[in-house]
Amino acid sequence: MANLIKSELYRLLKSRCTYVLLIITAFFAVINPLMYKTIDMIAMEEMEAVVAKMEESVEDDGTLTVGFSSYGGEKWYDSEYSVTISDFIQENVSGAFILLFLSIFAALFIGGEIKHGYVKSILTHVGNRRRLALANFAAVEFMLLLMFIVNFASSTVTSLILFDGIRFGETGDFMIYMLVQFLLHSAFAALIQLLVYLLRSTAFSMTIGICLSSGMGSLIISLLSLLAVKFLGAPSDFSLSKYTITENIMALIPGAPADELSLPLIVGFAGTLLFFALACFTIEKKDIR
Amino acid sequence: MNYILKTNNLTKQYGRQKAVNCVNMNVKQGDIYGFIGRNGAGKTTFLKMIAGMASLTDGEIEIYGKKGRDINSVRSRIGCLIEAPGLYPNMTAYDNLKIKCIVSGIRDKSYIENILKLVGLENVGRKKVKNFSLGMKQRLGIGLALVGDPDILLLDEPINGLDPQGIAEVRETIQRLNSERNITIIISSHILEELSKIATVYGIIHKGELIRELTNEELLEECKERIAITLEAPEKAVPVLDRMGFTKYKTVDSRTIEIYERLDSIPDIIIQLSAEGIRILSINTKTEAIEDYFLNLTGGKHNG
Repeated sequence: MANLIKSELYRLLKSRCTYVLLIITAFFAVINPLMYKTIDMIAMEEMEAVVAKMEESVEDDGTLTVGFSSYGGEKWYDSEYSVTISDFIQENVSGAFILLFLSIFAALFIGGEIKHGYVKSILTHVGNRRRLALANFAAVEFMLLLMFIVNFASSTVTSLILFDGIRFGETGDFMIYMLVQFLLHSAFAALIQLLVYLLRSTAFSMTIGICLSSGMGSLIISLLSLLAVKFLGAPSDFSLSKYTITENIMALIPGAPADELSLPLIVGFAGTLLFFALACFTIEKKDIR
Repeated sequence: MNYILKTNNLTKQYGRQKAVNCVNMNVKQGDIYGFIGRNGAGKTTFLKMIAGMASLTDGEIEIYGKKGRDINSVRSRIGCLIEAPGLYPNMTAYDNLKIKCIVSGIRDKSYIENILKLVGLENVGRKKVKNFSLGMKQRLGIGLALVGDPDILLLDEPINGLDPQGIAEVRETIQRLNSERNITIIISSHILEELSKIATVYGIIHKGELIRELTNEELLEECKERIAITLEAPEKAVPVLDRMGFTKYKTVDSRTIEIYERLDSIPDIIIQLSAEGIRILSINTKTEAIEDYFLNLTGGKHNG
């Protein structure tokens, strides 16, 4: 089993898509604080122009007093409600960018083995096919970890360069948040793995993954919720979206109380187990083409 | 007989169609088993079941005495190249082999170089597979199948699409593997003349059924040059042939006798049979090409 996982990691490190997606992840992690900085600079310039104009007005009539000058020299992120490095990291995670790249990677990586037929070359050495599924999953999990690390490192470095004296934020809350997000992302990766085994198509699996991570699945979920209310007697405020992986990824915030953390934890854990078990079942039952 | 690979009534059904129907194959250690059949006869499906790529609908496979779930423990002794070689095109030949070496737990760095040398790709090991010719890919596929030093090699149409030189190279590699490493090889093909140059045993599959299993000697016997005599009463000719000292002959049907020796003695046979008053309808020498033999068995001359 260890050899199989090692071989998958070797393939991961030799695949071009690994590096391309990590670079894109880093790029998006840089973009977020950069945009904040740009908006901040524009806002500051506009504010300074307004202050100058007001001061000019004061000089003209000699009666008007304006308190804007008290704001000058202070940065908005220094205040009590200031943005932190962890906010930037969190925005990329909950914005489902990593989820999008993960679904592309999982489809390409797992699908590649089937599409190119390499699985046929190693199958006699694999023994139980569940091992192959586990090795595939382990490699995708490793990539997810790399994406999280790249997002963390890029956001942190960019924030430190752009904003003087920026704080990291609550470390404890952030760690819990990232662990739960990792679990939710893992569940999504297992879903893509299942789709690849089931459809035997990289393109279809990737397309479905992109659609779901972009929130397109919410239309279907809303429809299903409506049907549940109308025909199954569910309460009027019933919404299936609360139980979806993508909705939980987007809704989760750092420092959420324990009762709000339980649902994403259950969704992540149950999703990972369910989809991975189904993926194992599928790869075992389906013939290799 | 001690067989290393046996199948008992092996069957694979897709919907109502039986792709493989109750096949009983027997392979001995060191055999080069030529698996002959037309396209769609069930060769690939059969090999996939042996390699564990396709589930069995019915029947049983026995490899090195292991059956059922126990078979997984000996499947690693099988190397296979089924259909097109499974390779990552964006990786080098070396990396493709390296991945399988890791799976097999092989750490020796010279191992990959040796495999590349064995299949004649030692100078292109660092070249990406997408830039390989079909023949090179096929040889790399064989190389990949050899990782882990298998005892049985399953090769499905390994010479398909190759030029004559490529075919000769693959043939040479297969023969070397068999003679030097005593690897048992099951090779499927429909290029019969090519298969006949290397196979020691043949299995002929038609419409999912194994219709004949025979050794190379038996096949040559069946196809070799002979005197074919068509007579009104063959039973009367038998004592005459005995008196003439013929021992290698057989009565093929109610009107035909075939003699497999002294092929230049047609005039003597005519004189002796005529002297005994036995009417000869026709007499000639004939040879059956392996291809004709195969077509006769599979009814190809009529429905092909």
